[in-house]
Amino acid sequence: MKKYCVITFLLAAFSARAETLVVQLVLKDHLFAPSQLTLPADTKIKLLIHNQDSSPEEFESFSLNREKVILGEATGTVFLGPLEPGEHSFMGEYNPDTARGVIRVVPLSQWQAEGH
Amino acid sequence: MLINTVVLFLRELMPVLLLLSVLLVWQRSQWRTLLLTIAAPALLILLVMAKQYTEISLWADGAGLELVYAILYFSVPVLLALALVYPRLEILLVGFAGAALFAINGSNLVLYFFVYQREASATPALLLGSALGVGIGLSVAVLLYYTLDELSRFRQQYFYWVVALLAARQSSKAAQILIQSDWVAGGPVLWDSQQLINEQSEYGQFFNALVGYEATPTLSQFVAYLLTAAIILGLSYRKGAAR
Repeated sequence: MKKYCVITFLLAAFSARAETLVVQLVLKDHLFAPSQLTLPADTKIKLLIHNQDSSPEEFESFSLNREKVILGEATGTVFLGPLEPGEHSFMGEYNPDTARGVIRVVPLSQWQAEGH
Repeated sequence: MLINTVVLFLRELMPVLLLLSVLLVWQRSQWRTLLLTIAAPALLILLVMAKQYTEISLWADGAGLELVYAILYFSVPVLLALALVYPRLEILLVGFAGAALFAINGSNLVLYFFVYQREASATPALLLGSALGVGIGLSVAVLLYYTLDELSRFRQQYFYWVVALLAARQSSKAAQILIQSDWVAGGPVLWDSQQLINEQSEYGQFFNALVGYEATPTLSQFVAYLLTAAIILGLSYRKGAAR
């Protein structure tokens, strides 16, 4: 029982610590825009994916453990992080040849210095 | 289109076919009843979901599909655990577990096949890709079936280890969905084994489908995985001891 309490406390602490940053991503003509997203490390991200195509798409990132079906002309929300600095690729599972992108995670100071 | 369809089919079908292999070994004497118990509820759920995709996706602030998928994923280990506790209802519970996973992965295929708008010229590639995907998936599932069949005859408990890991995989997937919808905190990433086995590689996807391999699991996923595996294993040992 004690072990469960510790785990619950740790998870609550991880979620409470993080502030949420809202980031927009657009899918149009089976292309993500922007195709490279730069995000700050150690920050919780609310990623809003606007699918402007009439067809559905599945947003997928293996390294981020995220997959989300977004119907045509709809918006899907995926929460990320807090993340460590690094790079994560993502794609649209139904159009993997064109719908591709990269999430670049940089330290908060660098992210601010880059003018985001 | 052809390769993309094959890959998509394999990714969606493999977890269902591997679970089906395991369940068929478990219930080999009643395989017809098992297939019926899986197919009937799965097709019913798929039919409802296909008709109500848009409505369901709007539930829970746009996370309706995730909510349904998480419930279905969690129901797999729960039903398998109950099957170990209630032998009389075993076939029914095991069948419903298969149906739940079939409904999740099947709904993605329904979406790709019937909701996705594409040119008529793409249809032959789509059909060929689907056939190849099903063929490859079935071949792997048949191989697994005979391997597990031998394993269970050699020592039944080894078979339940596979059941436990398969059940744990579904819990981990449910946890992943709850994390990305911000209903559960993910916690830190525990390790990164992408260099060892890339999750996008054939091996990565096979092990993900069978035992829930994740190259970058979070604490919550890992806890869900371990707890489920421990519960299923504990129940299977209890069942073995009671015999």
